[in-house]
Amino acid sequence: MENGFRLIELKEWFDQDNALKIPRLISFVFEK
Amino acid sequence: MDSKNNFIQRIQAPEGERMGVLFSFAKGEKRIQLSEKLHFKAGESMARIHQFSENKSLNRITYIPKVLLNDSLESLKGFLSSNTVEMDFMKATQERLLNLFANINEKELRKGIVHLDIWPDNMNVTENGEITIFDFDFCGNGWLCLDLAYYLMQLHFIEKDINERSSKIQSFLNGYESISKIPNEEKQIFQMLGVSLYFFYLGVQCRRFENWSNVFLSKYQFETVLEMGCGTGKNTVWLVSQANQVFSFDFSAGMLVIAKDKVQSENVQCQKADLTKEWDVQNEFADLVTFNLVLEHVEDLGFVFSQAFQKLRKGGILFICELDISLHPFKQYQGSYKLWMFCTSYFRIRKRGNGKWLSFNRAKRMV
Repeated sequence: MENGFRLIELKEWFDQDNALKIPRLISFVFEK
Repeated sequence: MDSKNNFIQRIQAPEGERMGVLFSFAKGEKRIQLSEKLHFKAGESMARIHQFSENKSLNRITYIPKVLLNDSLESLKGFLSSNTVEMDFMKATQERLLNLFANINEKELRKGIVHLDIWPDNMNVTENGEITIFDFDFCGNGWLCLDLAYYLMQLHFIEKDINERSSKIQSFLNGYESISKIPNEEKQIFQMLGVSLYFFYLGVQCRRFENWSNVFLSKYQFETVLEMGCGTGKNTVWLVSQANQVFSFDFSAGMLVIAKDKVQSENVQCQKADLTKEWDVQNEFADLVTFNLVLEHVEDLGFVFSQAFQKLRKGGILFICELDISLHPFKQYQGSYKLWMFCTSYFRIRKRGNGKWLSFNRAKRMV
């Protein structure tokens, strides 16, 4: 818990069919 | 075939509705790196498909220059600003390709049904070299050489060694021509068609990018949402489908016009706002605050996160999503790297003890 938020999920995503064609995304999910 | 005798199934995939066919059997396995011999066989397989599909048509899309080049660039506009070097390049390339299309002697080209996505990622190969081609999502009508150009374009991505690539390309073409002769007029336009198809698939990826937020957020429950930096409303449609009340903010009035047109719901309010100033929303309003590909543009992230904290109710969710810059060459996305470094610091996502920053994968294991 830092600054009132708790990190509950880190995730990355990319289109499996086109892994080389589009940028990968990363996401953070925090809970207050 | 399902219990109602349907061969084709509609699937609600993260990127939108897709059609699925259950194969009873597809021998072998997927291999991206094929030998010359297998490229020869792939050429043979494509030629046999074309023998069947030539001069036939389907009640599906026809791949004319407008579809390949104009529609795709329109889709790209939602992601690249008009005043960037990259967009200037795309426009200049589009113009050049359209001029080349205008000078093609169409009468000399074979026409029919095309698959448009034949490459090693869409085929299973057995140890004996038997090939099964699948993924007919983009099947439509057009010049048969579109399939050839697409396969060759993909070979340029897969095979980095020039000599190896050249011999595999030749092997593929030899395999094709062992079944059907390729007219010289088709061979002369392989390159420009390959680039045009890259254009087309860039547009496809832009359109699939819509509504991707459900990939991340579908497991969370929320009724009130603050969408900070909604842009053209590409994620708002899905958020509104999940929540009772959505406030979507963006700094650009132009983007908001598009968003309002796209998301016509009583449950959403699209408003102009500067994220770096006090947010005009009551405290503890939101179940969810989202930042989708927006924080890379913000310098004072601490202020933005403190606002998010104020506006979230206890137990509410803060969602941040950015491009992973390690895969992206465009300069403007360097902001994502700064964001990652800031988040690891602000939220103390780092290894305890030695104080070193965590890689994404190590941080993920800690959650």
